[in-house]
Amino acid sequence: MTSSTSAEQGQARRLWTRDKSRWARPSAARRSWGERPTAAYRFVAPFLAIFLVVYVLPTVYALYDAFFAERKSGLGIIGASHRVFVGGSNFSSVLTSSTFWSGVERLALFGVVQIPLMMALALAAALLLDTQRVRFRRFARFSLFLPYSVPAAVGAILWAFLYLPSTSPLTRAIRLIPGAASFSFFNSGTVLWSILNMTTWEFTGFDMLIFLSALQSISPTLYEAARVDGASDWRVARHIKVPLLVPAFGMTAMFSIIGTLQMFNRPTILTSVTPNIGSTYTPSMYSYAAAFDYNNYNLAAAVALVLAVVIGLVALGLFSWLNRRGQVQ
Amino acid sequence: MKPATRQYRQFTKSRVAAFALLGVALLGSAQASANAAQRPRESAAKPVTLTFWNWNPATPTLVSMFNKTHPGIRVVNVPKPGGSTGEYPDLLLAIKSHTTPDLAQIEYDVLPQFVATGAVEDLSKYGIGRYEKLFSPFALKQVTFGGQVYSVPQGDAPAGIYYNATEFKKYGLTVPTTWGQLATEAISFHKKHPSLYMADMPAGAKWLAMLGWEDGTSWFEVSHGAWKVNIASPTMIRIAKFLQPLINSGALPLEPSPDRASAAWYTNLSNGTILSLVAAQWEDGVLAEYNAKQSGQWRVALPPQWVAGGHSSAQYGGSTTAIFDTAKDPKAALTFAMWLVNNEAAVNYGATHGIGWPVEPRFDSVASLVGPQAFLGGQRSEPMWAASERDTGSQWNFGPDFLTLISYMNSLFPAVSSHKLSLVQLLQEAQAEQVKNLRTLGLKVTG
Repeated sequence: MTSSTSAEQGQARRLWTRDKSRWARPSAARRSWGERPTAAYRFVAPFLAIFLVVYVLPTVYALYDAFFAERKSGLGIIGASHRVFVGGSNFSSVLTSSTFWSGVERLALFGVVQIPLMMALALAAALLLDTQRVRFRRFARFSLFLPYSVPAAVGAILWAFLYLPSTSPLTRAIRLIPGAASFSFFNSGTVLWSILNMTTWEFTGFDMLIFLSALQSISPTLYEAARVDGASDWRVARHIKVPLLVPAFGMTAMFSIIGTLQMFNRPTILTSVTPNIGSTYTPSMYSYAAAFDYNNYNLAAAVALVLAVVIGLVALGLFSWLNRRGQVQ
Repeated sequence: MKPATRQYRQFTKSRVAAFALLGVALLGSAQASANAAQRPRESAAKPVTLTFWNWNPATPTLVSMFNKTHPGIRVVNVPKPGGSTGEYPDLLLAIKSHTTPDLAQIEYDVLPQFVATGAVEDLSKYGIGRYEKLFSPFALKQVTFGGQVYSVPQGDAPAGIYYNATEFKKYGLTVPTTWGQLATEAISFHKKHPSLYMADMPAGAKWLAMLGWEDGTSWFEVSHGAWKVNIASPTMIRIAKFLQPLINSGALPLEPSPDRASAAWYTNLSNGTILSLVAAQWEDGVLAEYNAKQSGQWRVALPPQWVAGGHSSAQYGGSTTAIFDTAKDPKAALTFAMWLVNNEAAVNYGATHGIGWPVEPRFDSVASLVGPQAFLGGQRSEPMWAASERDTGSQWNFGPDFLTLISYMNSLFPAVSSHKLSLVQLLQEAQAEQVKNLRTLGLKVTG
């Protein structure tokens, strides 16, 4: 241990001296050009190591695991179980599972409504904050972004109590409306939209920030030219800002689609306040339930992989569509 | 060279810090391997250390009572979040990686599934035989597989009906002695008072199982070396048809959590919108804690019967203490598991602190077991629980894959709650799914 430590220290010292000399005499850099990639690998190594251990290895293991199943015999209580190779049967049971596809369907409906809605809200907020006329811009930007910095679980618990009929001022207020006397945020018909509201609340500020930073990169000369031509704020927004924001739309849409299909913690937390969300409400929850409720890790691995492929295909589709329209640089 | 030395020192400093962190991590794993290495021998000077996973609020006190009187054994209490969302996933992972604790709390219903992993010790090897006759017959049956005893019953969960006597009197409700009476009263009461409920129903399979158990059926039977699955038996279909109008009319609200333990239920309870519940003995602590405003107003009675004048009851929950094959000293572990249910002071403390009803019937006659409870207006509930325990049928069997079954059934309850699926359909789907599952697992199943 000691010897290797001092050897490494020596090496580090040499590295440092070399780097130092490189800074001092630029021409020396050329001589050590051949060693450069080693240094690059060293910088990348920590990332690669973590990426390999927490991402690549589990994925490969899941892929391997998904081809097996546990089998027993007799009454199945006494006597050990054994692991058998079952080929693609875990995958086929996911692909034919109504649980899995009804989760995907539910999220597709959610995404079709939620993603455009949230992007519209974020765009409106970003455009407003980008004009010089709004007062308290810093404060407004901060407070719109604040929900994103609340941990997702905490936000979900807060909303759960804001929705729970017996504690909710919102429910009480809505029930005063004629014809809505039995309104609840947790009915089978409303619960998905209650989650939509939570998601929108949390991520609008994030999208807005992306749009704002994209707006800041627009060259001011374009605005000057427009102003010289007598364009109003509205026209500037409509004909300069929005078209130039399209790449940012593509990016936020991609984030949202992936986030939607991976939805897990909000509905999971709501399971403790409404009987209308089951343990397999979304595909991610199904995978979790397969592993930790059904004790079927093999099925859980297959669910996760199929979901990953579904997300990959959707993302790829969106990406190539945007590409074809030449809107992703 | 001077700046270089400084740089070097800084470098070593951060390196030392990194090594320190690594050291902490190594220490953790070293400790783990030391625990494993401890197994072979224990000297008289050094007591054997046993880890005990459980979610019982009474355990810290019980463990320190035990440790004080047993110098050779040191039990370490490891509190875990309860049941299927807490300890069980951890345990199943621990079984996979051979890092199980010495002892763990496992409920009766999932014990078969844990025994099936092969990681639970057969206690017949360590002399549980001489204690067998101490347990209630149904309790002993739940821990016996293939003629061998695999776990020590820890606490039973006889069913009863808790009701708010003050509110019952105010609204002219009578304590239902039959389910039929409960249905009639609950429906007409909810019609008159739409924001109140005379009774409730957890959206969970275990509660349905309790009703079936009380009605004399069993979801699983063993005949000729094969499993017979009776989830959609005529008895269960009758129960489902009985409950359906109660759900449809809204008289029996479905509680979000399969075992009622949800934010929504606690809130409704403390608001006083639920007037009674059919639940187990261990629920008294929960009721007292979350319903302090109505302290003294509640009472408890024997559960409603399926047949007027009947004497049958069931269990809703109940736990055992299992010992794992990684245990350093299974005999010492058994000593502790038996002490929990055999020592009078322990049983007394446990009964009033959520361990459940004593598993040894000899304690039923101890009149001061629970004592007068302030929450129940000073009611002495011991004779009633003892009767419910006696009335529990021994016909019931939990299946070999019960955790999967109830998780599947619980995942169907949202559809019942939104009227897309009837309870009868839920039972039929569960039956088909369970038979399919067991066959896929390679087990012998007859219909």
